[in-house]
Amino acid sequence: MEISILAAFLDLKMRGIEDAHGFLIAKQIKDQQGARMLTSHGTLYKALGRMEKAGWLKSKWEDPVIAAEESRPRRRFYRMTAEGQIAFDSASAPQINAHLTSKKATL
Amino acid sequence: MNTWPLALAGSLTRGWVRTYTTGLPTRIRAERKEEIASDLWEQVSEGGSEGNSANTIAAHIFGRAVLGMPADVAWHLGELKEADMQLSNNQKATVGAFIFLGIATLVFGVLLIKSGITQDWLFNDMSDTIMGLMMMVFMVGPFVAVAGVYAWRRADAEERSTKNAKTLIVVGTLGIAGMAGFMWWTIVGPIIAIGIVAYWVNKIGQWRSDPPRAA
Repeated sequence: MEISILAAFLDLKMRGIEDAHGFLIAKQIKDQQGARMLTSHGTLYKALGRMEKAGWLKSKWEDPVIAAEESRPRRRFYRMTAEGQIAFDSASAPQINAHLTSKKATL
Repeated sequence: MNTWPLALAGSLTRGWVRTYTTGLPTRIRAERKEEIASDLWEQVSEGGSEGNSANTIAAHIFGRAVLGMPADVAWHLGELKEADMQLSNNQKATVGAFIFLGIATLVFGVLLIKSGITQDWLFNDMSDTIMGLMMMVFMVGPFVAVAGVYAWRRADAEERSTKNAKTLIVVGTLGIAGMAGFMWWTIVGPIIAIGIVAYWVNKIGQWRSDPPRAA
């Protein structure tokens, strides 16, 4: 889950979005994986909390005035930290290597 | 857009959030509730703009809530541990006893209904429906009592009044007693109910003279 979330942040970052709320992250993961359903609330927010405690993400609550002006609940925005980027790189490197090895084997 | 399925799915999800955040520190509880409320709002808003029907959006919301339940429970236990709000051994034993009673009651109730005994023994003079509903209400007793113990723990840790928590425990215990009363032909039910009522009467007496402290 953590890798999916970090990958979602990288894709969002490429689209110019650095701060993302939970639903946007869930939607990005769904689009990336081509899934039919969004990640469950429990799985998503438990993972986000764990990642924030690990220092991979940091969060801040939206200004309540903005939320009130738009007549909706306040959003909690998450942002990937440098530690999160390092964690993603180190976790995805073996996957990339395995992918390249299997490609070589088929050639 | 027909809004009642959305309202129902939203209410069920918010109810579940209220349930699994019970017993956690106020700030963590409020933040989780607000975050889920925001998520629900975004999903309804997004689903509407994509042209999805209310039924589809509601089903997805409900599905997300149900599929996340195991993770929610695990999160709750982790947060309790982190906030040093674990239950004392006595409270753990009480919760365990109520959970055991609750599950045993449900299993027993299902077996009873399946066996057909209920038709002959219990439902002679009263409507089956009313009787069944009353049984279901009584079966909820143990779970209400468990919720009461958690609420008491939280209120105690936050140095707030434990009155509501005690009420939940008493109501839950009364449910168990009521259930035991219906199963008059068993000897076990009434004994358990009397024991539980006596235990809590004694416990409430202790609370008055010596309020419980955080573990």
